[in-house]
Amino acid sequence: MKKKIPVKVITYIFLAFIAILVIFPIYVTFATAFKTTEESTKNFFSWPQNIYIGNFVKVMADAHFWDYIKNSFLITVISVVVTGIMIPMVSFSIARLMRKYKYFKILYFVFVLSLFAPFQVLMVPLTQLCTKLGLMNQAGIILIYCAFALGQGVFLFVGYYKSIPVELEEAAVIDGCTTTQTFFKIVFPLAKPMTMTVIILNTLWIWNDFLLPLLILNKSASNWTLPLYQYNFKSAYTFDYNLAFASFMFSIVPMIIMYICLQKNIIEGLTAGAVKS
Amino acid sequence: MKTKNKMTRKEKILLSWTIIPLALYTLFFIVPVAMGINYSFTDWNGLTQTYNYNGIANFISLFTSKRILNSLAFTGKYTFFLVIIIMFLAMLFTILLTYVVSTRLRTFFRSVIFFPVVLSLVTVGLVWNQIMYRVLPQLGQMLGIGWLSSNILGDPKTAMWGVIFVNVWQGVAVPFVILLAGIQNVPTDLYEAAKIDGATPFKLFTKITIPFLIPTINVAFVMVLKSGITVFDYIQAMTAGGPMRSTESAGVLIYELAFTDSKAGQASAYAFLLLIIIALISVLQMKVSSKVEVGQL
Amino acid sequence: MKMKKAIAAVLTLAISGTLFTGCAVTSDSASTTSGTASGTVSTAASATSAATSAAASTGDTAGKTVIEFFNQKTEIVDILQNLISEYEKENPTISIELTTPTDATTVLTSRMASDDTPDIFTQWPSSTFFSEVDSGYVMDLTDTGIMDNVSDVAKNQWKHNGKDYAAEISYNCSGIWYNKDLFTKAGITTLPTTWDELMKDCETFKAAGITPFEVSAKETSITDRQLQVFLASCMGDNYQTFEDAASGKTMDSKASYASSLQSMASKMLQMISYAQSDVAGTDQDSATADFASGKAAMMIGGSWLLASVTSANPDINMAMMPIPGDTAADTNTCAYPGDMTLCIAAKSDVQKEAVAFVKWMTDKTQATEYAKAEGNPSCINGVDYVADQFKDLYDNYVTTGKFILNPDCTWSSAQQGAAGAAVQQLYYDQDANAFAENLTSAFNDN
Repeated sequence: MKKKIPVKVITYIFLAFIAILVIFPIYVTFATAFKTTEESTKNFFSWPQNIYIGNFVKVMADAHFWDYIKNSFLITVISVVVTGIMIPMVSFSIARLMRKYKYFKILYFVFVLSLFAPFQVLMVPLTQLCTKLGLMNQAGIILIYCAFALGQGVFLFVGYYKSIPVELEEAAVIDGCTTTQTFFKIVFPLAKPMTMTVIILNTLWIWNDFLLPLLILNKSASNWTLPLYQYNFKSAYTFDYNLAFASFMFSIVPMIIMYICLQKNIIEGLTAGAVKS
Repeated sequence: MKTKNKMTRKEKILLSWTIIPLALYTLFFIVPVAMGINYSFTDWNGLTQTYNYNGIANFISLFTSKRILNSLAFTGKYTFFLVIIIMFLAMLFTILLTYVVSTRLRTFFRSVIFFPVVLSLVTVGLVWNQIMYRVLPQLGQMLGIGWLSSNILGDPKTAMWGVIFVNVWQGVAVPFVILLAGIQNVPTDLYEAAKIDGATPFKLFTKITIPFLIPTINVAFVMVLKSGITVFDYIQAMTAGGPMRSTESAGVLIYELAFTDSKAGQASAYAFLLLIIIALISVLQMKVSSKVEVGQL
Repeated sequence: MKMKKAIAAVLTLAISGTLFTGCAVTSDSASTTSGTASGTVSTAASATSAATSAAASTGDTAGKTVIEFFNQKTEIVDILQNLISEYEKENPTISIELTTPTDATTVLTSRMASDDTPDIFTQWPSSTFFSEVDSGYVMDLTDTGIMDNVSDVAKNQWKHNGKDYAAEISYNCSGIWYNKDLFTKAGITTLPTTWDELMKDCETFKAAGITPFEVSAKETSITDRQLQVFLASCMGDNYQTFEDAASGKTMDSKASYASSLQSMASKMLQMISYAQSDVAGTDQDSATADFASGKAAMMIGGSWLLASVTSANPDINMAMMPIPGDTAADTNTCAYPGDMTLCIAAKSDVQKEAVAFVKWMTDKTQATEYAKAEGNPSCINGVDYVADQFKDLYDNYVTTGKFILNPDCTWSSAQQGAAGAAVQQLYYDQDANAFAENLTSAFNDN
């Protein structure tokens, strides 16, 4: 027992150090949001002398501010809900039939390949395509997210389904369930942790994504999402940190709320493709 | 057609579930990729409506351009260190939080380590840029550490580490949580049995924990590997490829070639080459992992 | 358009369709999932199609002609928006949608490559701009009447094949921004007129405990701008041969201009020796903030810094001067007409309306309003307002023709980036001899 104490001490010192590394930048983000530009210019890292809420007022005064919020929510929620149902289904097909049919095996590899594709080269072709199809808008970007989410989703799900015993499904079939019923009654609930994982990862990705909205939603400021608005505080030669950081609050807070709500599920959920019973 | 006739009703339904995803995927991924591959055989500058086919000239130019070869080497180096550091730290955090930290503090530290991932990259980039410019150099001067006395992002020798640091800061969260969840599934009765047999904690870890964790490690590994090979936004946010192009990754260079240098043809060829390299790595990785998994079962 | 919307609708429906077919015949627990899911999707479909139909979300645009105005200059958004509101009031049937995305160049390129050029866009005359013209995306403004008010000096700089494609509104000047109060504080009463005097002043600053120069070298786009000003100031008679060789990719590190490049490089290094400690690690944001808060007396830069510096410190007392030459007589500054230019898409559906608006913008009244709000000297005939910060520079150099067009106006953007990286290299290994070589390959290889 005596030996264990130093290990504990070292561990806590190490973790405290990590905690400072994480918390300090977050402190800066909060502090800056409540300071005036002049105060920030004088000392970037100090705690605000007076809590200044003018930044938030200015951020919200933008004519399209509520459009950005609405767009961000709509796009994230719809894409995440659609992928949260589509990916489990298609992955189930692949997982159950990839050993039997070449089609499903190829499908798996083709989907997973996109996980690794450098997005930069798709930028111009995608813009050209969406312009031709009239999809330079929220509907277009939702469809693209649904397509792009397939790679990681299928990769995670197919591995996970292998761990769900086929016997359960067979029993359900004997009870008279159709394939669709079996899936939604038996498999889908069992896969809930994985679904949560994919939902969380996709939410974080889509909510904070910048390049794709930049390309697809630039036609009118009323189409923008929050990250586009946030980047807009950067001109080529200066950055309005105070306004930018105040605007970050609007995107950080919903994610924190999501984290608090899904905390348990994140741990359960990210059990991921790993569960091998 | 042959297979279709043989299919059972259940299999047909399952087949129908793949139609929409495949259609979406074809339209928004395969078609753009095909367009890109087409451009890679042209002299397209990324702007005009017309272009000329120039055979494999772009592909040849990939291997003669020092800048492109440098970026490939950089990407390799970056990915190597990123994967090692993230996997090590994620593993370390997992072990500490599972075996050392008391239950009360566990939730707190778990939240702390996970938190950076909810921040958008623009936030992360801005804050860390300022810290590396204003805080770290002061610390370096105080401690008399030469390389830390000025912004590490400004020196080609240290810039990569600055970017990796920020990437790890945010990127360790997801692999960590994946591993943390995985380790909870290691059956405890095995530990008990082994302890009775007199196994040391180290032996317990290597003989029981690690083998059970391998599929989880695998998932985490692939995700970190992907983020390393396709790294773009961390570099764009921290150094934009500088100083003196010393941190230009494949992703950054493809973007530069396409949008700044008016060499969309060459950019597409580079991306195509990268895709082939990645495809080879992933096939290899899957082969290896499926062998390990089979061994597990 | 109808076709496009139809496709969008079909695709969205298709998705919600799968959800229905996927879940239609399920038990209780599953059907609740399907119910909520498809519900959300159909709301989405209607919401997104609403957003698609023109600018329905902005509310009051029904029946109006909508013109898209794509602005690349973040710092002038408010000024433009004010002018636009004025115009919309005068022309109730017109609605102008101003968009100012970040990474605007990337967006504009991808929009043009998709043959979807915005109706009106701002641009900087450069080799990129001319290739946009050659690709047929930019409208010929020669006979539209728009150019009537633009001064001949400005117009003639940017003619392409004898035609006008861009309406220049304001000048861009570059030189040394200096903090007048710090000059007074250090006891310097007259501005340096030669390079040696400038160096002497730097010593004075140092003795007074003031950092003479703030230099940022983290971004190649910024080091490229520093190079511009030094080239204009230091190349003397060799300027034109150098410029032709650079843009024509025929640079030769043994040519006569090489020695001028070398002496220029040593001047740049002299500047660095008087700069703050961490030049390579300072980005322009931080440099701007530090200069604004009076941490340094001088900073190389262009008109573009005016708005940023004054927003960080509204009380700063600063002005611009040229980099002094070896003698007062061969001092040149660096400027170009067209800091703000307006272009119109060749294929715009609302070309007539766009022309009317741009013509209105080039009117003396609006141009004066713009100049007063933005500060840069105007390219429009009859506008005589010049902001205090530019007044000396404008009177003594720009109007007398003692300025050189920014050299990179004729470089490709690849060359600009490579030249910027060569300057970073110069600052890093302090090797003026190697600089000419690096610059040579920067131009010839790109």
